[in-house]
Amino acid sequence: MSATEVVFYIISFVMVAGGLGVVLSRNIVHSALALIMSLGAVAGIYVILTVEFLALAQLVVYGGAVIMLMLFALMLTRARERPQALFGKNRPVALAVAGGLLTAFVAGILGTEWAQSNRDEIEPVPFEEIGDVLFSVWAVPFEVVSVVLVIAMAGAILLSQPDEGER
Amino acid sequence: MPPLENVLVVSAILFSIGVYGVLTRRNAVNILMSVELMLNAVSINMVAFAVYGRVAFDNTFTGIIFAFFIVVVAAAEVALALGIVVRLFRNRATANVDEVNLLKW
Amino acid sequence: MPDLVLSEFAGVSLPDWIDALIRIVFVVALMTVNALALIYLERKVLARFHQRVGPTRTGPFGMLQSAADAVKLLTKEDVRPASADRWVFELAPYFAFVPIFLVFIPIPWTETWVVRDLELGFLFVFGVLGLNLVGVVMAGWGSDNKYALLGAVRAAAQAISYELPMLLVSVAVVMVVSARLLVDNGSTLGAVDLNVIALEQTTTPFIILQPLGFAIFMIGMLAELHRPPFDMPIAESEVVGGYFVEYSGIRWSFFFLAEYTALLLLVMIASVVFLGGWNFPFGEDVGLGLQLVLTLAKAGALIFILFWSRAMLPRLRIDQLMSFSWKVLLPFSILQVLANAIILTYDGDEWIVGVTSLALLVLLSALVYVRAKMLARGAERSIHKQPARPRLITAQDVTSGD
Repeated sequence: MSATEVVFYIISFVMVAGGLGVVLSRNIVHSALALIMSLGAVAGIYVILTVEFLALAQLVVYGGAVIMLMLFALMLTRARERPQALFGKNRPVALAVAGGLLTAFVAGILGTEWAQSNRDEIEPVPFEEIGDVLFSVWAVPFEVVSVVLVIAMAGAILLSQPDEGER
Repeated sequence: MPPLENVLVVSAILFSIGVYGVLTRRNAVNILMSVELMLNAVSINMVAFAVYGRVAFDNTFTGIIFAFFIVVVAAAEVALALGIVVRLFRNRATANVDEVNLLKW
Repeated sequence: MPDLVLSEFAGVSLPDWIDALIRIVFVVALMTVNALALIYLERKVLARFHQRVGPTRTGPFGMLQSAADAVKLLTKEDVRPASADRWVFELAPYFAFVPIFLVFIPIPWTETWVVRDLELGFLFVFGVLGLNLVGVVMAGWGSDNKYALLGAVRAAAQAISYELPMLLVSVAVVMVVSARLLVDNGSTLGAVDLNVIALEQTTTPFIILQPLGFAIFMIGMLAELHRPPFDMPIAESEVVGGYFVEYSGIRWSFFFLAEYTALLLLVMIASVVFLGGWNFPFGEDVGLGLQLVLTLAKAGALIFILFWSRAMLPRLRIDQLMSFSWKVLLPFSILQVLANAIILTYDGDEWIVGVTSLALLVLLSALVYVRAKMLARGAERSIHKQPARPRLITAQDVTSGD
């Protein structure tokens, strides 16, 4: 087990712990903080997989923006005053579904013979080539995504307009 | 580097945790957080395939580009979804999805 | 891997992690010294601007004032509001402080003195600085105090709004560097590396090629640091101190330390990217010691300008500063990126880039000046308009009106 593997296991432990914090926490603000932990750990996994550029994009977008959006939404919907219940009617069904999915995934993963390269021969991913590919082969999805962002901005502004007769 | 199966199992675990969260939690923002977990699990999966299979599959970066677009589109989706949640709270004074059941038969 | 100066002197090469550890210890020591020095210097400089003297009693010329402040902060009682969410309240200072400390990693102090010469240094800076805001919002909310929440939301909104023009202007600088690297090396590798950006400024610092970029970066810096004239979120007379009003003692000193460390950090980035860092004007010819002097001199000049703007400028209202960022700075930074893109794609000379940028800067200043004049004239007119004077009713009017 090389040092990279040990670090990978530590980071994935943090990630799973954060995920459990999101779905099991009684206080919703603690869920938001656990989500930060989890998404930061995902950025760490990207660094281990040598795509640092994606890790930084993840930090900028999720850590800087999405988490703040969620905290603002929690503030605006008075989340502090209504504690979440842990024992809903759904819990056994949810456990069964999630457990079943996990078993199916793990069985599929461990049962398949992966035709990937030897894991010791992985070279770091060169990010300038990602940039090349992003703007040449994937140029159309890139433009479409920018249109999606504009639509999301317009939609968010429209949704936050006051109603007729409000105020 | 860890073996590919380990990375995939870790992302599967995160995905199932997200599924459990979506089915169990009642606050709308919390459900969105669980959806974010699921999206990130899928991203890790895609990136792992791209990185481990780069030499075997002719230097393709598709998985990494996929994860990049997931990040961007998820951000846009969260912005809109939270706008809807805040609007819902203004009209119904609740962010609890169990109580938003006007169309229930 | 750049050599540590120790290993140069002793001729010994150290293993990676000891090397990193020593550099990190240097950075931590530098941060502490910087905070202590800046506290004292700010008070002295502000005092001189106000035509008074500043601290004089504690130590010779008042130099031990920072130490006195530190002792006071450390011995204060650690108070926490009873209804504050414990985890959020106590974790917030660390969330505010740690990202700023992390961003010192890619900054080059001289040609080889950098903690790690990250290839994605510039992107790393902006990415991790964004995590600071999470700490601010947590602090505001965890305090269970309406004014703290108000200050936190305003601080976060202001920081996000001014981050955008700063990012776009940085993209413009990176475009210029990439064009040069493409010509020299055939690939744009290293365009986002802070050390490479400093290296490219041997003859002309980028303040000459991108004056609009420098102006927008400085304004954005003032806003990111919540310094006057953009200190509405933390102003005493507005929101009673803002997001750290419920913190006292050591916890408050984390926020304070974070602010002064961020000051040094952003000033170093501005001086590396726009003023040439350790390189301009004669950096590559002299040794490391003089390069360090150059770096510190540039940082010191920018820090003095920041102190000067605090003494000189009045505070902007929150809606004024938000509209300034979104309606004025953002369009101009987009125009700058567009202009750079057009000129560099068609292989224009670099002085065209500089002239365009200067023209945009002149346009921006003209716009701001004209708008300010309009507002001032409108305000003057409303001041000089006579209010309806109360009519004096004499006893005669009363009796004759019956």
